[in-house]
Amino acid sequence: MSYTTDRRGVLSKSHRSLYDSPLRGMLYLLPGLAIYVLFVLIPVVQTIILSFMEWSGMGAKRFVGLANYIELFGDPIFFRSLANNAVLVLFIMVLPTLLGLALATIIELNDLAWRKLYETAFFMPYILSLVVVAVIWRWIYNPAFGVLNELLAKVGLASLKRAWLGDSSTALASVGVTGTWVNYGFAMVIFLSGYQTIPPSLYDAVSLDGGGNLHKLWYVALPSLVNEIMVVSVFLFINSLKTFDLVYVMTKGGPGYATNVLSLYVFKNAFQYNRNGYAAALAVTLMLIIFAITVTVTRLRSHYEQNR
Amino acid sequence: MSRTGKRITASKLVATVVLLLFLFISVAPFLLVWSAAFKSKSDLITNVFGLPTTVQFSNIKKAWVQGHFSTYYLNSIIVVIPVVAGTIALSITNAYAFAYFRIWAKEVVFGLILLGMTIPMEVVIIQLYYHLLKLGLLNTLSGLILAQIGMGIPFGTFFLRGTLKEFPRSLVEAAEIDGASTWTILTKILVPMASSSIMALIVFFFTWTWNEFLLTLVVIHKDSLRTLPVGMAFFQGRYIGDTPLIAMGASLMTIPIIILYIMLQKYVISGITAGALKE
Repeated sequence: MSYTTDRRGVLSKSHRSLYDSPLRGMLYLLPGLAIYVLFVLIPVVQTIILSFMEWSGMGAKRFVGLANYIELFGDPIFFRSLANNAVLVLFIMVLPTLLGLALATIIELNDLAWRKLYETAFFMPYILSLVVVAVIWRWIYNPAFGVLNELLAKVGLASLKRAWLGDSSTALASVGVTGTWVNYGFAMVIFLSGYQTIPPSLYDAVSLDGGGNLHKLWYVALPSLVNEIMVVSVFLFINSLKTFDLVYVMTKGGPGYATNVLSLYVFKNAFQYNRNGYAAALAVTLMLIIFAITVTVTRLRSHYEQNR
Repeated sequence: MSRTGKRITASKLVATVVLLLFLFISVAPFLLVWSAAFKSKSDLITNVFGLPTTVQFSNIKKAWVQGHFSTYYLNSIIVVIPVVAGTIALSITNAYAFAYFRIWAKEVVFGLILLGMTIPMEVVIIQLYYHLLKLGLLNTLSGLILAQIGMGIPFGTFFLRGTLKEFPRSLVEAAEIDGASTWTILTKILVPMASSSIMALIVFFFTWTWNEFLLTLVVIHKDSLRTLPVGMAFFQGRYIGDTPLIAMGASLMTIPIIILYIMLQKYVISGITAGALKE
């Protein structure tokens, strides 16, 4: 608190805090904001503008209006990629969430020992670079002397041996299984920590009423995890829409377009086919899909919290 | 059957078997790759599942020197340190500004930064390439570092603003009355109080930067500047027929990180899940 004189020279007690000075606040904000604007926001705005243009990367840009977006709606590869992304949602969001939930529940209801060991081991694939994961799994799926085919031969199922990533009927699912392997431990860890917040007295109450594990699951465990289930699902849903590393390293989108995903299609159009405008329209479409999901879920969540 | 007063029920037995099966599924690929890394090519063909018949240490040197893994490691370290330090420092000052200061059009500016959390990398890279080219930063580690910091700031700002807002306002006001400057209040009071959030962010940004692939693939074209993930992708293309060598590359990438992970397990799991939960 300090005393200052105002313009008319009257002494007045000032309650002005240092934190009321907009200049000082801006000084703290400026460095971070500048880097964000320069390296993220400007490129994003430029990409949005570019989505209405045609440009090979060199020479002049040509304004084409909505042509890129119209082309997109008639592009079978775009729809194929979108469908592939939808299949990956099954492998990267649905399966890991269900598996993670099942495993966390098994540990919780049986009060198993070695909880830390399971957590550490199941979470391990998630912390690693997806590139190295993809390299490891490429070897597992390798048609000549790959782990999976050797394993099948060992257990007498040699007839099932195939080129898992080279066969268009199995390629996408094979990439998907790798995604499941990476993510189920992550889901499980979050569900386990959600279970930690349930007071044991609630389980005891079910036991006193003569309820078994199924009752504990249905009346106590699952209802308390609604929030975690929602968070994990949305997070993994968006991750599956953004799948790039796994596909790029394992199949490059092939065979044909069997494993082509949106993100890879953006990359190919921009950096291989030199169709920057079209790539921009694809990328903006991907961004709009993600925005729509984020906004819907945020609305749903606040609706749910209010009605709790 | 009663042992130490605890009954082993059938359900518990089944549960343990299921968990051990998944434990095997999670860990087996690593064990197979680590053992393949020390096999000769002919050994690997006849012996996928066993230990190496003769241990080939020469693969280590081959991957490290000829395979350029020494370069990729160095580049990854050169990139990760300034990105983590820079993103966190700038996120702290940003969060401080948003949590405590009166700023013109605060909500709008904050919304603009939040937007960055949902923008996928794909939208950024198309023009970032030409943008960096114009700035003379394409194909440089500085360009990569600055872009990564820019991509990290939205989440860091959002995360730390939440932390700072939880602290009682009276604390800051009391320090101000005692004559502390806003900088002193930040560095001497708020940052130490936020240390567990900052620790979580360090882990989160470290893994995120260490594993980043798409951005690096677009920004860096010189092999001598590649980081581990991009280096690995090109390495496996170069030595496509030499599975043991590729396995060695994968081992060089996974073993140190897994050791680090097991040592810091508590921080890693809580840091990464905190990141996912807040998003």
